Amino acid sequence: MAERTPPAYRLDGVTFRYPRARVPAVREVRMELRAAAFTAIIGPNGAGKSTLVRLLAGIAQPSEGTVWLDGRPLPDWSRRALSRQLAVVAQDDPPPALRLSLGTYVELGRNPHVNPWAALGRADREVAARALAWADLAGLASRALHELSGGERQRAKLARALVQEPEVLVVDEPSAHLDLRHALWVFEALRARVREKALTVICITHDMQLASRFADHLVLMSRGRVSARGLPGDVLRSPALEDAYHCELSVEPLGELGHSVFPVRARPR
Amino acid sequence: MGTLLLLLLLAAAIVAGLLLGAAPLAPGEVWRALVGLDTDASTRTIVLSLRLPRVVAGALTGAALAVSGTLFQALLRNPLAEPYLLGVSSGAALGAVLAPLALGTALGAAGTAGFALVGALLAIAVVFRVALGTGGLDTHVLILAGVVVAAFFGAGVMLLLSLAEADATRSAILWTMGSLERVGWDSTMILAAVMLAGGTLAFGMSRHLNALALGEEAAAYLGTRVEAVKRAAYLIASLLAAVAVSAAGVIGFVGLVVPHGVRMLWGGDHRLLLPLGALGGAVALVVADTVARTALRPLELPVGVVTAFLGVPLFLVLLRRTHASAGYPKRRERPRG
Repeated sequence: MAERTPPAYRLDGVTFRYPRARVPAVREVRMELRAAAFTAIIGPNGAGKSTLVRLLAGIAQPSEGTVWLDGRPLPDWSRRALSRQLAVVAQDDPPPALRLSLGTYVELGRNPHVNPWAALGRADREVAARALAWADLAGLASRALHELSGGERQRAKLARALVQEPEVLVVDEPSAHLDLRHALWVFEALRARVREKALTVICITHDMQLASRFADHLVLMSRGRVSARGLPGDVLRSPALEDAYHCELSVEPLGELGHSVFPVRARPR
Repeated sequence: MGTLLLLLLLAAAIVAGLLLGAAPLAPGEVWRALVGLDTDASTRTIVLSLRLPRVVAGALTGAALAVSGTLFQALLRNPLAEPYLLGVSSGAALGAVLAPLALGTALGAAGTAGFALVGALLAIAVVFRVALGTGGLDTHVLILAGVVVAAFFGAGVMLLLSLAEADATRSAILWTMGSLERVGWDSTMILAAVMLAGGTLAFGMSRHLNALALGEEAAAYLGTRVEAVKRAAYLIASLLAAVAVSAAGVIGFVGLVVPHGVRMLWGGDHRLLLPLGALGGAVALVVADTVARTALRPLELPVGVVTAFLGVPLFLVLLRRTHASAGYPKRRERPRG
């Protein structure tokens, strides 16, 4: 049944090469990403995951191939229309020199929806307030962004993205630098959003246990290519995983909790 | 809150600017001259032809410089950015120095302002063209191109001054100190028009400027057409600076200090920052000019000296206070490793 719904994204042999780079960062990626599902993208550093994010966000233009969002090629989307459909949470934090309050920062998510001359309407403020409450930041709206803790700031970034009211959310390593509890919160919250609001989540992560526990699908990237994809258990048990990381791994099923993945020893290059 | 405070301050500054000056006038007489009641001719001349135009020009120039500085700081994401960073003032200076050499002194202040404006616009066009050469408006290229073009025009000024007569040299040096004395009604009208158009456009972009402060990619994710906003911000900021500098000469610190001060007091939201910056710049320059006119009466100080002498200590106090309350780690407390 869910398989029938059209995919959120379709990539038809997408290659991306940075100027003056000898090898492409992303090569011949051919895949569909399901709508209203949680897809986690894993892979070693330098595998092309963040480049893939930039391709999905329409910031980087493929050297070959096309990225389709909702059946339309990305170049056909205007920036404003795209930012209503798609929110991106990048890895980098808002710069501390910004001097914005948390409330103002989160309200920036309304930018794609509002008239640039007018003040925010009541409905817009309510969307922002709900997102702050969702991210457990309700009392902090007037606090300066740079005074928040790392966990609060990560939640603020997710809240700002949800204020865009997107159909698709692309997040780049949302649990980096977070403690266990905050990392768990992020994955649980995204999972709930997929279940309750049919949000499409595409999440880049290094946390294979949380990814295998919460994601519907896993995509493994290695040297710019998709080297395995499918159900989390299948991908984590495939030999492609050890090849991708150049590392002997111990992979144990944890039932409801997904799989644990531990490095055993690095393989000689 | 901030708007009301600054409006009151601006009103007070304008009143002070009208009341104070080389000739002491009673408030009642100034009022009578303003509303057109019967007063003696010299009072009317002082109030209507000398002080009022000067206060209006000061308010507009200050507002233009502060809005320009705010836009440059947003565009370049650099706290040192200010209206003159990218060569506008050097281009204007070259024009201003060239004017008396090319056409003699018959032109007067309006002619110098015209030449300065042409020089400033030329500098803007060259910098813009060079910065666009790399495909899009790259802000790193923009800073480098601007600083280099500024140096080039600066060298042109030096060359002309080294060849010029002593009188021309002195007037050129006075020009670079900035003064509101020579701002005529025509310059004021141009200032008002550019300020109104540029300020309105900039305010319309304020949400996008907020997004841009997060970084160019982050702004694009929020629906901002980054390239268009950057170009518009550069052109508006440069035009404001060009009109201000060609009318009043180089008046420093207002365009750097006022945006920072407003940001420290009321935060970095451009929907507040732009209007409050305009008001703050107007207050700052009207006050500074009134001080310049009256401190060593009947001698008049260069207003740029006053903006620096008043602005810098005030700014340093603000800097200490806000950064202490923001709780930045002291050197000793910074974690090791």
